[in-house]
Amino acid sequence: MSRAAGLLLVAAALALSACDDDDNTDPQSQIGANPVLPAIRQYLFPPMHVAEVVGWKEGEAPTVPQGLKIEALATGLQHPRALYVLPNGDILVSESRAPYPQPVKRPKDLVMGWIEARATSAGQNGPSQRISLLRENPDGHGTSVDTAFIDHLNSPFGVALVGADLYVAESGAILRYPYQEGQTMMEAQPSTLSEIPGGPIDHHWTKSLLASRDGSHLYVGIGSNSNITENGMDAEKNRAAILEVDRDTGNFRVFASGLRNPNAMSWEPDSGVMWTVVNERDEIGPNLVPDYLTSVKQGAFYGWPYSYFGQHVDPRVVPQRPDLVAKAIAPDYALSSHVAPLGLAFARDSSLPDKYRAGAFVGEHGSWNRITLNGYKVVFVPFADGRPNGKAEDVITGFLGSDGKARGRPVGLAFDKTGALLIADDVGNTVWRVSAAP
Amino acid sequence: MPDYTVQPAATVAVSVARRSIHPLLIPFPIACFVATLLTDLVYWATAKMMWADFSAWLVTAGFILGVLAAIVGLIDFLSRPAIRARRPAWLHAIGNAAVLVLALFNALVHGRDAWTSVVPLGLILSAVTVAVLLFTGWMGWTLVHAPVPQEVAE
Repeated sequence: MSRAAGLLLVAAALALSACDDDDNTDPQSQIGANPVLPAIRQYLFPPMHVAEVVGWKEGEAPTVPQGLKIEALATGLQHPRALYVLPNGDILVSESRAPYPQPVKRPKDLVMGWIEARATSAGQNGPSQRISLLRENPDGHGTSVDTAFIDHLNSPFGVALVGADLYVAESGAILRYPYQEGQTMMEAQPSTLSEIPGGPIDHHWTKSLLASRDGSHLYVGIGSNSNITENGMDAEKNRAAILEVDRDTGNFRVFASGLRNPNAMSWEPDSGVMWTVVNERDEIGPNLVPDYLTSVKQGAFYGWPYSYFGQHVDPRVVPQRPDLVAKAIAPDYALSSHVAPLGLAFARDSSLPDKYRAGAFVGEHGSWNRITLNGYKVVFVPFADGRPNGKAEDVITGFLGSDGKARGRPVGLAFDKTGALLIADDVGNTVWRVSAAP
Repeated sequence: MPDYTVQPAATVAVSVARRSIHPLLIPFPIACFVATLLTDLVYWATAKMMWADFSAWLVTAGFILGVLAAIVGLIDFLSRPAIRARRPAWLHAIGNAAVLVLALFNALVHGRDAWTSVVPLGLILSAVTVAVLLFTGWMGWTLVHAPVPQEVAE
């Protein structure tokens, strides 16, 4: 028995050993309007590599090119993920984690939970689940106020102010608070504007928020409740979509769908069109599927779960829907695979040098589903006439050290009152401020 | 005519109160692997993820319990020349090693997401696993219940 079993075991070990990313696809060829899309591959062990988190040492900071300057605006935060700048310049920081415990439906959920915990490991950083308020010093260096603005929330993420109504999107609801300019602590109790898809499973839990320009509606991004429908289609109702919420009644309808995990919806300043970044599906290869930046058309369907980048059918979804695949539209701009874009900020009205004005910054949280890390940086996508115009450029880097370990990971972006770029760094527990070098 | 006697349980190495533990453990992985095939078939027919989730638990549990049974069985096998001397014991051991390798692959395939966690590869592996189990079960039965030639018993 021993020899035959030994051979079998050796064969098994060879077949199971982690694959590399080599399918002859250059990640750079997956940036732009027409990404190269290799054939689907399925694995026994999907390629996995999460950068170990070591945090920032005193004096360390991300790297910026000449002409820019970076400094920590606030440190010691609790997993900061999203940023919102109020009219008086105060900065709201959503310090947030996944709502837990998430249900364990399969043995795999135990393994993935462990991997996810590792990705946010340096996490001896408090309970988070709150929104902090930062008030910058007039010279832009550091803060004069750093306080818990609203505490004990349920995975808060998106924030939007319309008039005196401050909205907070958490795991399962949009809350409304009465806001007075200048206040540094919210003492009023919220009312619930709308119940939105949340638990008991809330797989993609970051609920981004954007107000319409006339203030009549709120748009909320609802990520899918699975990678690729493995929690069943019943769990996907009103998900993988941007919902349009009536601000008077709280009723919502689907504004656009097939967007696996849309985040950081923003108005493109020249065209007035909504754009968003989207995290695409995993586990069909290190170079599938590219995450993307896209304009969002009302009523449009962008493919998830049935297909990606137009009519590329995903065989993992049954029953298939050829009718929906046929009408799936390809997104505008691929950002490369597994970079995990979670932040988006258009720069026209910033105070950065001119070369960073016509376009958008994208915060790429970084990959886990490939061996060679991708993302872990903030890139700039140039725009002209309201459309992407050219190759994305790495601007804020150095979140990964040369040792391959993560000092931090960028998430949400915003511009402060002076037009400097703010970056929420969740595992680095820092808000960075990028301004024009003097 | 050679003289036949029935092999007593006490000739195995791992026993409680002179009863072998190995036959006590064996039904659990077998039940898990047979059930995996059934829930895979239902998932194939319905595409309801609940059935694929059942399969994922069953094949994983079957693998873990199967490893426990194999460890006990292997100790018996290695420490008793009388067992090693019998051809059905070899076929039983090799077959069940193959079952565990198949189950390990199958557990990983069932770790994929949605349809391709079962169809077609998971379902095929589940069916082959049960087919091999029928063979090794037959060999196991022969070991326990068939008469043993006296000259090869200790």
